[in-house]
Amino acid sequence: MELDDVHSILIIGPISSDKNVDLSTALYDTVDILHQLGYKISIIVEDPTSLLSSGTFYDKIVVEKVTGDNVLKFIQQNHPDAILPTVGDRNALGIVSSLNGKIGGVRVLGANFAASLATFKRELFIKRLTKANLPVIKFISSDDEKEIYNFIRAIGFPIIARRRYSNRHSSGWTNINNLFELDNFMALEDISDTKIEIERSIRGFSEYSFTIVRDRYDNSSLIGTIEDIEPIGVHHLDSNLISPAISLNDSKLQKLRNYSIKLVRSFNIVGICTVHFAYNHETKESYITEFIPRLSEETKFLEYATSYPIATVVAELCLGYHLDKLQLDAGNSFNGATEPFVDHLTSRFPQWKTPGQKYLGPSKTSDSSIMVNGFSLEEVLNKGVLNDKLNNNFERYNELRKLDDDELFEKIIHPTNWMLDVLLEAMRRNFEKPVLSEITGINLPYLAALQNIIDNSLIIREGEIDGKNVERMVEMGVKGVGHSKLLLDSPDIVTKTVVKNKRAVSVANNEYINHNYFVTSGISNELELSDRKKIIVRTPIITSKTDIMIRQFVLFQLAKSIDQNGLEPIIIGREPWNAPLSMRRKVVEIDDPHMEIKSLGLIKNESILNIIDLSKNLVDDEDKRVFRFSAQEIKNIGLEGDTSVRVMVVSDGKNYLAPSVIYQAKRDKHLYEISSVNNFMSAEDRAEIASLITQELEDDHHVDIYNFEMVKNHDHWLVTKKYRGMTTDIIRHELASSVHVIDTLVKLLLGNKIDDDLSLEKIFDNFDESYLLTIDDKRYKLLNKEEIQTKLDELRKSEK
Amino acid sequence: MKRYLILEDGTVFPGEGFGSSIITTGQLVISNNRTGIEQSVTDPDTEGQILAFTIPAVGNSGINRDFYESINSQCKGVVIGSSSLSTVDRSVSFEDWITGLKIPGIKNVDVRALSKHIAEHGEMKASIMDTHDEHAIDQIKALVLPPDLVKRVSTRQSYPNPNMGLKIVIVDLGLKYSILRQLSYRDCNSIIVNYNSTAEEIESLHPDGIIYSNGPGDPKDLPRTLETIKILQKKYPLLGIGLGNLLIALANDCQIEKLKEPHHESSLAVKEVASGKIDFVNHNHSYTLDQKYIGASDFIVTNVCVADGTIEGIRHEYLPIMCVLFEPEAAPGPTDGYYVFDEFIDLVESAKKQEGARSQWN
Repeated sequence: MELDDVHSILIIGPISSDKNVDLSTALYDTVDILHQLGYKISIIVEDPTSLLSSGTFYDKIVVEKVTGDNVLKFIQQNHPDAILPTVGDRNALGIVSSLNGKIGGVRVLGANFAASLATFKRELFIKRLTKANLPVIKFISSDDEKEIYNFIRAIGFPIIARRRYSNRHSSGWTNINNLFELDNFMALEDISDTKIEIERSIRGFSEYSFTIVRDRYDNSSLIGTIEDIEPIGVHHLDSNLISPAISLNDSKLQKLRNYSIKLVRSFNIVGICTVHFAYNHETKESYITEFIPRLSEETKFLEYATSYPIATVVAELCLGYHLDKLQLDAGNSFNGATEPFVDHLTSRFPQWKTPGQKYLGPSKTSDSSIMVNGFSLEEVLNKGVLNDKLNNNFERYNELRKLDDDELFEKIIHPTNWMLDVLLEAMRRNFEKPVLSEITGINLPYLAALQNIIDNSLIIREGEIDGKNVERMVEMGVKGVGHSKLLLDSPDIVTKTVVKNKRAVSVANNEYINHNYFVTSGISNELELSDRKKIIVRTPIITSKTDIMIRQFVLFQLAKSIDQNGLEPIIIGREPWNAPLSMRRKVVEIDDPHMEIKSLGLIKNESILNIIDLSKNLVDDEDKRVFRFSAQEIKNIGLEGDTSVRVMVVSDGKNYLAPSVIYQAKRDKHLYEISSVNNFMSAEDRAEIASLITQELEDDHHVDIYNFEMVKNHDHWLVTKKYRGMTTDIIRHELASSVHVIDTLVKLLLGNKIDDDLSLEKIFDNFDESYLLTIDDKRYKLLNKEEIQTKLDELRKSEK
Repeated sequence: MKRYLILEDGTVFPGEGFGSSIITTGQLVISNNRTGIEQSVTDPDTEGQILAFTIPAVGNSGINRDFYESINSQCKGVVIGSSSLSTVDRSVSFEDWITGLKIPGIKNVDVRALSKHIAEHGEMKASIMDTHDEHAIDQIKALVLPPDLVKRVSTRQSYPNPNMGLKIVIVDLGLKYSILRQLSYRDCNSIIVNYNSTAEEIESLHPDGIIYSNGPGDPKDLPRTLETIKILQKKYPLLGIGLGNLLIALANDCQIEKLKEPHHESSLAVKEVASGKIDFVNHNHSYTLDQKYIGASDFIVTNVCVADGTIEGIRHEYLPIMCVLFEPEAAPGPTDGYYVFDEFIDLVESAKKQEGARSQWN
């Protein structure tokens, strides 16, 4: 069955970059299943905090730059049987292709050399696909003018062209629509010292992606399809995405499915592969534009949309398991041979950190994304990209209304992230849909859905909703606090707001029942709760990469702790949480972009013990059970120093615990931070810090988390900042400390008290094997006790 | 216009009417097909059925006239959650198409709740009506669904699908055009005959092989066809698809049973027992073969459904008979099952070789 000769695996982890897709859940699932199946796991990463709390699963962690050289070094020293690059983003594939011929008998799981190389080298990609008789965009790279003209004569206009200079750099792509433009382009520079690359232009084609899993016995299954609302020309992850791809009819879908499987087979990829297509619905031309033989944003999205446990399945397939004989936990068989079928639409729409319009093009500009579910196009559009609460569409509407027709037309021609709002405005002004579709490349059904939204006067403006159109409104996913109640009170109304399970529907999907729900319209609720007491966790909207990490970490720890303490965790948020698989089956997750679950009254009030609120700006009522988790600054004396410490404190109102201290030193323009420095502090320092905390907490008598920042000033510590709630330090504190801060907090919320015997001294003396040194908040090192001591001495010596 | 989908057990699902405004009653079938609304609505298998589609945004991909599986639509009504008002390929919209076919439809139905209800309580009759009251439910209960579904969809007169290859007679129990398409790709010279054709009538066409097609309803309602199979199977290679498979099994003293969870899904995994190869194929059947009887018969199980272990294909140990319960012609669904036709052609050809000198029709 599985590969007999693989016992130890090196996982190539993600690099630390804001541009990377967050695959922490996938990484967790991968490690979890490999660990359960008994493999010895090592991992190389740049930022160990991204490993979340899965540290105990690893046999070895290497914190170093994730490069080919470092991977090679590890292989030569530790001789793993295999390397697994599927969770390491694009960089990992680059490393794999660079290792070709250098690693002897070490197996590469998931993506092989040829597949990895072809994702980088255009020429190889085209050659391999052409050989396999797969449709690929015609391409030429030449310095011979005659050859170029002949090529263009054969493929016709429009084309895109660029110059590749001898120093391997290249100019940007230029659109060329006719001979005149081509002549101008060719005349620009002396052709002899550069190569000209020409490709058939596929701007305006619809973009689709198909994700296939394949086992080593050549069984393939189509896990899901995604379509972009915006056409090719706008980066896939800056587009609004819909899954499944509803605009493909049977023959188109099967054609692309067959191409995908053929591609995966031709590269002999065992594991996962996402294939991107450009499709022209008028000419029925289709091209494969790229393929991604690893876990990616698409697989994360599909895992969310279909509940198919992709990361776990892929890890097992790579190790030679049969598609229909997998395990979700060790010993529990699971049938992966299914093409998940969902009866709802899932939409992913991109988010930008800063408001305002952004021009969209072939490079990605968005910072994060939000996903929503619904049963119709109108519903997912209204809940997602047109949801005023998430996207400020009302402001957009007001701004666009001021433009004259010419200015509006300008916005239609040059796509921005406001495109759908622009189209709404254009259609309000009776611009013709076929023309709009032609110019923007956005398919007609989306425009029809927008028109439908306008026709029913259900644009994001809440004031326009009354009892008459409330029924339509619900069907279209426009909801808000209060309206749901209106619906429940109106028995004659066809539909009402309900909660539905987010799982795939099929004879084949009974095995992966989950507890993921979304709020929608319908006639019956599907929410199933246990009779355990509940703690509700309200999640925040993600605006940055750090947010993602914090959220993934905190939610996971919270859910785990709530569950372990005998309660039922219910995670509710506007933005879904992708829980690791092992946790996904224990928590109830409800995606609720309009925050209306409360008014549905489905969760009995008396069964709710606490509400832990992680949302940063959600207004809330006077409910005494609400525990605000995110940090609020309550003291800031504006003093900064070169040496400081940060302490996190959990208080039961009377006693407190301070599980770990982070040391921070600014030296020579560099910022050094060391976790768990408490183990290296002098008795005087400890005593002083302890007394400061006691002093600060004198008047606070609630269960709470506090964060203090203390600066060393004239050999004494001074509290400069005080926060109530959790700060971004939580991960470091939690990882560094032997006391689980979050678990302790949950226990305190349940009414437990901090034992008087548990003194600060005891807590301070936790002895870790390795300590985390962070330099400038982006470089990380794991050091042992001696190394840290040396570093600390060095830093202390230079103290001013 | 507000309309209601009323089930035999009295459950009411409100929605909005479209298409024809007539009152309709039929067997309610939940279809988990991902694509191919055109194929499903025109599939003769759906004769007498009200089809409830669970896919969202029905009709977004457009309506393709090339996808028809029969000349006319067959189903008695369609139930959907949401539909798209426009199509990608600018063809006619789904709702206009259904109106043109004069089929009553109902949309904005909570199809999730509906499919869950059917999964729990089994397939039942249903009606699309303008009101919901006691009277309506009594009407549905009283209605007896006609047992002659095959008679309604089978061709009355034989017709050819000419080509220059093997001569295949297809007994039309509710034949989908895609089966003919697959045979055409393989150059088969096919003749399609009425389901009640006698053994003599079929033999007089001198076939190289015979296909018993898919079709609607309960195979036990077709005693004459059963008798014909008993005679023909000793003389000709047979391929049974769907209903054809059930009939061939019954003709060989096997038994069939109703599936607890019927298979109406365009992409469900089937495993070839001998090789372990997994294919995704279209399923559209409420009956399956009883394992006990197959075990005792001369049939070997060739394919099983990966999800629930249902028998999906059998082959006779001694005679050139092969059957599949799934739909190898896809339409809609993945094309993984096309190999069944190749295998049948191989079967026919090798039977022909064995026959060789004895035949007068080389």
